[in-house]
Amino acid sequence: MSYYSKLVYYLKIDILIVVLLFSYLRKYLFLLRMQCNDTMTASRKVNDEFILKPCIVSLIDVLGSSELLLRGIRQDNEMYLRNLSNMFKFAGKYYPSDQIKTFSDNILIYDEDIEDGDSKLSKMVNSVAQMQYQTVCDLGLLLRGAIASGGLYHSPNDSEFDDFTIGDGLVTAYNLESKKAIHPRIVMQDKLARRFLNGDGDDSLLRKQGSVYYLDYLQTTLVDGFPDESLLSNHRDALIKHINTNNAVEKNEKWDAVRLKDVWCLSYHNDFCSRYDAEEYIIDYTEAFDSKGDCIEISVRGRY
Amino acid sequence: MTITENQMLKNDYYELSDDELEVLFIIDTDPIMRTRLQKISLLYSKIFDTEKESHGAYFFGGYSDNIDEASDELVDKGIIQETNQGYVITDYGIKLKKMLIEGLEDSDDLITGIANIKKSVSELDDKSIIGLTYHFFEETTTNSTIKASVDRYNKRSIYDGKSLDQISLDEFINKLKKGTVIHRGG
Repeated sequence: MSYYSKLVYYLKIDILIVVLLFSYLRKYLFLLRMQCNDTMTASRKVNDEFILKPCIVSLIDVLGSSELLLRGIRQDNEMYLRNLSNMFKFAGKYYPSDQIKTFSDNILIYDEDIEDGDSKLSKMVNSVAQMQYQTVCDLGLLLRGAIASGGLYHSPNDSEFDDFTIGDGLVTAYNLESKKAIHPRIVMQDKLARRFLNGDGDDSLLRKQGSVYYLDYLQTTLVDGFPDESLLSNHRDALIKHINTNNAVEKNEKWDAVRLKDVWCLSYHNDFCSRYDAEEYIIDYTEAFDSKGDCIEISVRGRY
Repeated sequence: MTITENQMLKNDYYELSDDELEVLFIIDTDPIMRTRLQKISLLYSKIFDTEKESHGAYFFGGYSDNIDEASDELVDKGIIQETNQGYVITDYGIKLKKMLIEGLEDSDDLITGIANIKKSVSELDDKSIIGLTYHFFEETTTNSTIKASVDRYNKRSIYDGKSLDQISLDEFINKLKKGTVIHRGG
């Protein structure tokens, strides 16, 4: 082979080697990129699935459930369960089902707290106040709860575990409901209350008792600042019926706690009537020992 | 083809309905809630447009569907906007209103009448205006669910040192026509 031919021959081999190397390198880089994408996608998926999103959270407890259920009277249980189910439906009028979780006699309603959070906060306060009024009047049930803001994770509807909900927002709402609410009222976290009062929401929906803000839900009976008397009358009648129903049951060691809750509701109703010149809807009541002298009952006076 | 603002102004100038004009002249740069708008419109119709029964007796007193629809139309056209504090005129609306004031003839009742009514009630809150319409135009309150509450409110209301029973309808209307400011209390 001549020198020139040898040169061409070896050059071709070199070119071939370079081309082969390049193609392997390309393949390797392609595979590497694919692997990176998968890792990033997996990571993003993990991040999207399991994050605590900032939410406005309402946790509401229906009072009197344990006493009623432990009495074990079938008729009462059936009516109670029906009422509870209806109460959950009330929530469904304001929020879609994927923003409502229920467990036992508790209901959790949440909404993402986005930058334009004030309208969402307003909506939550208005909706819960309406719900509270409706629940008392239509179902004779008293509520206790709290509205707070914080992180919340909730499992999507198609997840393996339904209703997996957790977060510091829920913990805060639970702590407020169990430690601060005390009476049949829905309290609000301080910083959230200040935010609501500084925003465009209806200030009158929040009232302060001592250091605690709570929903003044009877404000929902007002039209242009005047009480709609049919709505106030409904509330009065519902409370009286509730008191009479409680009086008729056999009293146990928890009776005083029940009575105190009822007294708070009566006081709240009467205070509202006084504030808005609706004195004729005030409920006249006394607390006195029953005929046997065993316990203190609430007696409603006058004809209604 | 884009329409210029001037062309839009000209279109709206000629195409606004009577109700839309009425709403436009009631609404200003200070926000006004829907209820107050309705009650001022009621006062205007009772004083200047008596042949037209524009306000019916609804659950919350005198109310006009036409005024409500006119408000929505003006919002759609960008002439007014609705905020949490109420309706407020837009910059475009201000220009249109200025054109209308300069161009409308024989509209003293509409422009001056509304301006005087607004001036007359400028110191009164919404509750007081509602109370006054309930007292003087009782025919619009027959279906109201808040009538009893408003009546109780009116019983203890004093305007310019007089209780409502001491103020005649003519006296009230004259104040509104002249733009005499009504004060709550002494």
